[in-house]
Amino acid sequence: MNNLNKIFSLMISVFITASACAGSVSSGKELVDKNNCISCHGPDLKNPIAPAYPKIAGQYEDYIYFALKAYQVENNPHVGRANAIMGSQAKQFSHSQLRDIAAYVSSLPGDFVVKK
Amino acid sequence: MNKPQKTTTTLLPPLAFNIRLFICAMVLLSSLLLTPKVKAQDLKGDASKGASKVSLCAGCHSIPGYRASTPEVYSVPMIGGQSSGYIAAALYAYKKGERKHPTMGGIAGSLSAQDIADLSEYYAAQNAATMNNKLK
Repeated sequence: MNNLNKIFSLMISVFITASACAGSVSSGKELVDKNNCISCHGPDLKNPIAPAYPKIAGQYEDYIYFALKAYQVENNPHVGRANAIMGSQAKQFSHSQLRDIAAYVSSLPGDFVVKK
Repeated sequence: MNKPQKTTTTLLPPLAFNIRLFICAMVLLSSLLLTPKVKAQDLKGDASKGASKVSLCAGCHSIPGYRASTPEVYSVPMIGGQSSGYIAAALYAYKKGERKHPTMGGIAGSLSAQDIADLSEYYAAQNAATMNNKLK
């Protein structure tokens, strides 16, 4: 019984940790709409308005989160992305908001394929 | 007591000097304006040539769900089907150090402008129907 309790509490703590890390798709949608991400990345976030802008719909969630966070970083010799546009966009959000954005963007149908 | 007045006289440089300076400036300016600007980003890429250049990319980007990098581990992005202009822009950003990443910095630094153009077209052209790369 004691063991069962332990397993149960472990499962709950794993669930809580996992849900704290994963972003909220609905909050992410609100942030993406409000921040007008579609103005550059296109209405479905996979038809960017300029060739040098990326398609982002359907990209891996943890990668999008990492990339957005990297745009916030300054003066670090190992991590960071210097980009005037994305820097000013990403810097207004907390990490938890960036997780929400990543969850939403990643949930959209995209064109990406992984081929050998 | 009379304090000696400081006189500041601004001497204009001789006219001849001014003209020489002006000519120099005009020559410089015109050379800047007339030099044809061939941007590396404008190179035409060839997807079929890119197919033979993927050896440094495929080890990470061809494995579904592959996660890598330090200090933070995250999924290596999917680049098949990405826009070619963005792939090139990202590679140039790694090359110049605007984007910092130990592996990508090294790899992008080793690619020529033509390699970047070819690889960008190669990955951009991939879709669900694309066959596996026979050269890989």
